[in-house]
This record gives sequence, C-alpha cells and structure tokens, in this order.
Amino acid sequence: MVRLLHSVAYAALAFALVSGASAACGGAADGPPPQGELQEILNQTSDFQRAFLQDGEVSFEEYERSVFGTVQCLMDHGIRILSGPKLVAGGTHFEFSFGGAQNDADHDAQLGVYDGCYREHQDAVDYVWAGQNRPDQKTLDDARAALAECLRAAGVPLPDEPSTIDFQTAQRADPPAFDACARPVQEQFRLPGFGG
Amino acid sequence: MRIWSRTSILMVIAALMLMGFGAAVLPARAGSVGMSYSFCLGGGYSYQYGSYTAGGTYELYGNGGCFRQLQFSWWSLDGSGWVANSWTSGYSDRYNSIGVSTDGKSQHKLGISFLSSGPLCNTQSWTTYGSCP
Repeated sequence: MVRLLHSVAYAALAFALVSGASAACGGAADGPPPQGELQEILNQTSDFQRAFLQDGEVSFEEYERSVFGTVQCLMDHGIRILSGPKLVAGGTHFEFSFGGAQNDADHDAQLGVYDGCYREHQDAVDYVWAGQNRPDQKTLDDARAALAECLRAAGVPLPDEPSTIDFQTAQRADPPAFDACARPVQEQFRLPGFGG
Repeated sequence: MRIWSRTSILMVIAALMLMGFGAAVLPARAGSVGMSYSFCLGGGYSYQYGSYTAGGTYELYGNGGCFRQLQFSWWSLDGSGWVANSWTSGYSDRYNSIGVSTDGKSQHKLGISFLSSGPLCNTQSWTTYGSCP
C-alpha cells in the first residue's frame, strides 16, 4: 500500500512538472501586471499603495517610499529598527531588521505589527516591483553557474548541473562557505535572497 | 475546469509527498513544508546546523511564475533578544541564513503565490526547535 501511494505521488509530481509549462502560461510576466490583475490589486490594496500603483508600474522612488512607510509604521508602534534599511542585490531590494523583544510573546506581537504595516504600506508594491525585476531564465542559469563555480572552488562538492536539492545539500554541508558565495552572486545578478 | 480540478488534487498529493521527502533528507533540527497557491507548487525548509540557521523557499511547479517570499527571525544571545528581518520577495528561490548561538532559536515564514491577493497566503512558520506543520 505504501509503495502504491509513493507511486501515485511520484506520478502526480511528474504530471505537475510536465504540465507546468502550459499552466504557467497564465503566470506573471515581466513588467507591469496585466490589466485584469492590476485592477484586482488596486481593488484590494490600501490607499497608501494605490497611489503608487495607479499607472501599473512602480518607480524606484515609489518602492523606496513604500519600504520607508513600513519602517515608519514600525517605529510609530514603538518597535526598534536594528539595521537598515539598506539596498542589496544590486540596488534592487531594501532590507532591514527590527525587534528587540525579550520573550516569545512580545516577538509574536511585533511580527503581527509588522504584518499589518507591511500590508498597509508595501505588499502590493513589493509584488509589482518584483515583477518588474523578475529575472529571465538566462540570468537564473548564469547565477546558478556562478554559485556552483564558487562553491566548487571553496571545496563544496556539487554534481554537474546541480539541482535545487543539490544546492540545499551544499547549504547544509557548509553554511559559511555557501553564504560567502551566495552574497556576491545575489549582488552581481540582482537577485535578493538567491540561493540556487 | 475539470483539468484544473484534477491538477489541483495531484498538486496536493505532490505537496504531501514533498513534505515527507523534506522530512527524510533534512537534519534533526529542521523543518520542511509543501506550499501551493493557484497553479503554484513550492516547498520551504529551515534547518539549524551548529551555529547557523537557514531557511528557504523554492518553486517546484509554475515555470518561474510564482512569487516567493521569505522572512525570518532569530533569538540573539548578545542581549538584543529577538531580531527579525524584513520580507525578501521575488521570482527566484528565496534563501537566507544567519549565524546564531548553538543554543539559539529561529522562526522562518515562507510564502508562495500567484496573484497579489495571496502574497502571505499559505505562509508557514515554525521554529527549528518545533515540529513542522
């Protein structure tokens, strides 16, 4: 029975992967979202973000104001900003850290505040901004090749044409070496958080 | 519509399989989860190895058209308490890590979605000390 279930599951996964190409035709494309999706975004987002999104595109200045709106919201709620916001990934992404809670309950409360601030000031802008900066396949392939080359040079074993799972295995095998390779690749290829 | 329904069922089965697979290959202090939204199917993981904790999210299905997000926080023993990073979002796999005390703990939140109505849908979180959802 267990073997049967595994067979069904593998078949399902294979089906999903093979049929992905046709399904993904409806996926997000580079640049601004399609009109129908944009209207849905405008209907659902806050007034603060709607002002940035009316033309369907997000400029860097609008993205920046959105992030700093989230930061100001956190500060208005008494939450300390611990680092940033600073630009990373080739100037395409702001990151910052916050917190200081001394127990789990306060931490959960702070994350709840952050979620509220993020929804008010940034989530839809982030979505459109990420679409505008979505990498093409060649960029992803080149970034993976550069990461693999760096890891091999650092002595981390990787097979030819490593898969996502192979990169995860490399992360666990040597986290500091992986980080040392991933950060410059993220900067060079403008891919925030890229890890293979 | 019928094809979509069947695909959705199969994606759920695949997601369940993914969760089992992740649990099998990751170290003890780790978690993994399958995530789906619309036609998007992805996975997420976290782990702690020695003084490092990391989390990530990746796409298994969606041909690069699925929005992925990662946000994580960790307990710092230098007196600052909980430190939380802002969301990292985009269309390539998300990954982040931080060096922590071996006695530390962390929490990772992951998301995968298609339309903007769901950036935070299907977000899962867990601590590296806890059980996976």
